[in-house]
This record gives sequence, C-alpha cells and structure tokens, in this order.
Amino acid sequence: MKVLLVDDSGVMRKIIARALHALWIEDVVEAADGVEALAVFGDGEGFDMVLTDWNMPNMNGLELVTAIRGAGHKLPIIMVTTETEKGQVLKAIQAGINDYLVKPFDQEALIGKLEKHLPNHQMG
Amino acid sequence: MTLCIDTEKLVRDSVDKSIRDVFSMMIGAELTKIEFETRETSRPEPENIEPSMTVLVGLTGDIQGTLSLSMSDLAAIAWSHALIEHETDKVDQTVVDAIGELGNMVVGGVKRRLAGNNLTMSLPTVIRTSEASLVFPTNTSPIQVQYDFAGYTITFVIAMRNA
Repeated sequence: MKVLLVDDSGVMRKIIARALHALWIEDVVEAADGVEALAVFGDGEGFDMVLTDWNMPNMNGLELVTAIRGAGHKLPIIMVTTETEKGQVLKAIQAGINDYLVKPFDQEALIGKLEKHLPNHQMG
Repeated sequence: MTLCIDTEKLVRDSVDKSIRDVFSMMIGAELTKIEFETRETSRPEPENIEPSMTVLVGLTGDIQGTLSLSMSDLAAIAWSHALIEHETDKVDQTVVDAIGELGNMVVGGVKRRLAGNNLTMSLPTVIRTSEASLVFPTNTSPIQVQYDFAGYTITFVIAMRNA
C-alpha cells in the first residue's frame, strides 16, 4: 500500500503519516506542494491513494488533482483541508476528488475515509 | 466599527468550539475555560514575563481583524510533543511550525463556523512574545479568553470589527 501525502506543513505531514503508519500503511511518500507531488508521482505506478492539502504554494491541491485526473489516473484522492465553503468543495469534486477530510480530524475520521476508499487494505 | 453584540457572541462561540475541537481531536485533550474578559487595547506590560510565543492569523471579509493564540514556551513544547511526539526542551523550528499549525486549524475552524461572512484567512505568523505584549488599535474591542491546557494557560485574543 503506497500513499502520496501532500501538504506544505511538515507538522501536518507528520500527523497524517503517523496516523497512516498506525494503520499499517508504511509506504508514505511526502511532498510539500503540487509541483513536488507531481515529480514524485511520476507515471503514478504503484500509488494506491493521494491525500492532499488544498492551500499550498507553487501548485495548490486543486491544481494537483486536476493534473492527476488529466493524466488519466483513477486512484482515490482525498482532500485534507480547512477549506469547507460549499462553492470550493464543489470545485474540488468537479476537479475529481473522491472525498474530503476536514482539519482538525480525529483518527476515527481518517480510518473511516481510508476504509471507504481502500476496502482491500487490512487496517491495523 | 467594532463588532455588534450578536456577531461578537457568534465569533466568541466559534472560537471556543474551534479551539476545543482542535485540542480534543488532534491530541485528545479537553480544555478548561478559565476566564473570559473584554480586554483593554493596551495595558502596562508586567515584569518577569515567561518566555512565550504567539501565533497571529488574520481574517478579512464582512468582519475583519486578527485572532491570536499565546502560550509559554513550555506550553508550546507540550503541544508539539502531544501533537507529533516531538522531543525537545527548547523552542525550535518544529515547535514554531506546530504552533503555526495550531493557529491555522483553530482559525480555519472559526472561518468555517462563520461561513456566510465571505472570510479569507491569512497565513499564520508566529512571534516570540507573550499576550501581555500585544496592543491593539482603538477601533477594535479585543476579547480575551483563557484556557487551561495540562496546567499551562493558553490565551486567545479576538480583535475583530465589522468591515
């Protein structure tokens, strides 16, 4: 199980990575913005999910989602953000996200999203 | 123009719910509210202030101003340890980032709860000062709320006004 985790906050990446490790998801590739994310994502080979923040420098989460979907990748993408304005959520859905996780979140909420989108993964 | 009474209550309640949510969801800590007061825009700085940090986040829209969250260095270190198990006995960049993220999440929650006010949030700025050193323009009416977090006092100052 390999997850691309994108957030400009190193602290937030640590929080989410720690939660993923607790769920036996060890292969977590981190990136600090959309540009870095696309560079490590490459042709998407081996990735099972993308977790991305919205507001980031250089390339934001929405642009990242658009780029990934534009390249034809179908893997689940979850936006993890404080942004919850209806219009903005709609934009993210139209761009191709599968789900939304609002910060702050608890472990249960994260597990719920992962179970929903990675049904074949055995949670720890 | 300062906040009208209804809006002030809404902002205060939003702040209270947001800060409690962040501590409860992110580190499983239940905050105890110690004190609520309307604060002077400026006041004499007390002597012997503990080394402290403050995170400031601006909101603009139909209401606008700054929200600040202040705590001692020790409280900031305790927060970063509880959040990401960061081990340190002094403030370093990770502690600063953890305090920035605290401000981001709390004010993000406030913005969400005040949906309909067309609010935009600034990036958090962390400064090495205590709440006692914060002074505000006269056209804001700062409100101060204090919480107990693991024996440390966290001070939230809301300095907002109608646009």
